Parts: sequence; structure tokens; C-alpha cells
Amino acid sequence: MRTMVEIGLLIFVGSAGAGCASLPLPQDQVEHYEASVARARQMGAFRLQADQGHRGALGMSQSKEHLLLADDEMAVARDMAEHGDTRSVLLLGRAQSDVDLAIALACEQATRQRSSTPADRQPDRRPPTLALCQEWRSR
Amino acid sequence: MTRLSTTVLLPVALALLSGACATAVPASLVYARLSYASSAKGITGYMAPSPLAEARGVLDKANKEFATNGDTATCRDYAYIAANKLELADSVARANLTTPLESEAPTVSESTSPPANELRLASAR
Repeated sequence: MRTMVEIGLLIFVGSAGAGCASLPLPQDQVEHYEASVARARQMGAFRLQADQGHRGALGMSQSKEHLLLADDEMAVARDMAEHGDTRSVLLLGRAQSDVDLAIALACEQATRQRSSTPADRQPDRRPPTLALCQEWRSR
Repeated sequence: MTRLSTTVLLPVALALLSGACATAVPASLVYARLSYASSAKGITGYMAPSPLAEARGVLDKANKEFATNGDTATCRDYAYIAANKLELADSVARANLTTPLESEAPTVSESTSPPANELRLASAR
């Protein structure tokens, strides 16, 4: 009888431990996400101001809005992964899709602003954001 | 016991079963489906076919998940990702329309893509 109780206890402790075990996020996907955030930062997507007719939530630029969403989703993904929740990978996917969208919107905004500037007022050198966009679009 | 199971358990089981069959499509999936239909018919289909195809792949996963398991968190996550990818495809299409990449090869074959002027007119309408 005592052995049965011990076995039952062991099974309970083992399954509880397995339930709380952390589940690491795929390293390559995390690295890809971090590289994308770094690229968005390099493009100045965090500092973009909303332009006429293209406002995100709370009056910020759409690009910045998606970057903030991505940041929140990544925090949730890490938390879920720590608690062994398999949905964490999908949350990471959501975060990645938001960063990618933020980069695309930043590029579109830069392109729009460039095309609305008269040719004689455009700088000789292509602005860095546009050069980075060119690289991103041709990848 | 047999009477109890037929009078109480059977109606409960039937109610649960009909509830499961009548699961409504989540709003995020409806939104993603509508966005795809609109993007595929518009300039995105011509100007950004590969991001559109990528979005379609994720939308298919959301549809499959809904068909198999109903309105689950996984289904909503896929629908959300699909909607973001569709918005990305639309954004790339608009940017390509404004200034095509200097070194960019045509995104679709010449024979299937309408002239750029036609596309600009279509997007202006």
C-alpha cells in the first residue's frame, strides 16, 4: 500500500514538474526577430511621425504602433515559453509578423515622402532609410 | 440508471454536439479572408505576388485549423499573422507602384502584368 502511495506521489510530482518545465523558443527564430527589430531601429521606424492620412493608434505612426505590438507579443511569448506553453512559438510568429509589417510601412512612408518632394528639392544622395528599404525589398 | 442516462445525459450530449457544430468563425479569420479577397483582386496581385502567396499559405493554415478544431487560439494566431502579412503585401505593392526598385526584375511575367500606367490609374480610382 505504501509503495502505491509513493508511486502515485512520484507520478504526481513528475507530471507537475513537466507541466511547469520551460520550453525554449527556437533560437533561429528569436535571432531573426532580434535582427528585424535592429533593422527597424536602424531605419528609424521607432522615431517616425505619423503623416497625413496614415495614423496608427494614439496618433503615432503605423510603423511604431506595430513595433510596440511586437514588443508586447515577444514579452508574452517569452513568458509562455518559461511556463512550457507550446503556443509561445505562435506568439513569436505574431511578433515577427508585426515587425515585418512595421518595416514595410516605414519603407512605404519613406517612399511616399520622397515621391511627394519636388525633384529639385531632393537631396543628391539617397536618404539612408530609402537605401535600407531598397536592400530590404530586394532581399 | 439506464433511464437517467437517456433522459438527462442524451439531451446534454446532443446540446453539446450541436453547440460544437455551430461554432462561429472568429472575427480575425473573417477579416483575414476578406483582406485576402480584396488584395488578390487589387494591385497587390500584380505588384507583390510573392508576399501575397506567403500570406495565403498562413491563411490556409488558419482555415485548416478552424475546420479541424474550430475557434481555437491557434486558429486566431494564424489569422492574425495572415492579416499582417496581407497588410505587408499591400504596403509593398503600394511602394512598388510609387517607385519600383531600380534593379528590380518584373515581379510577374510581362505577359500577365498590365502596364504600370494602367495600374496607377486603377489604384487612383
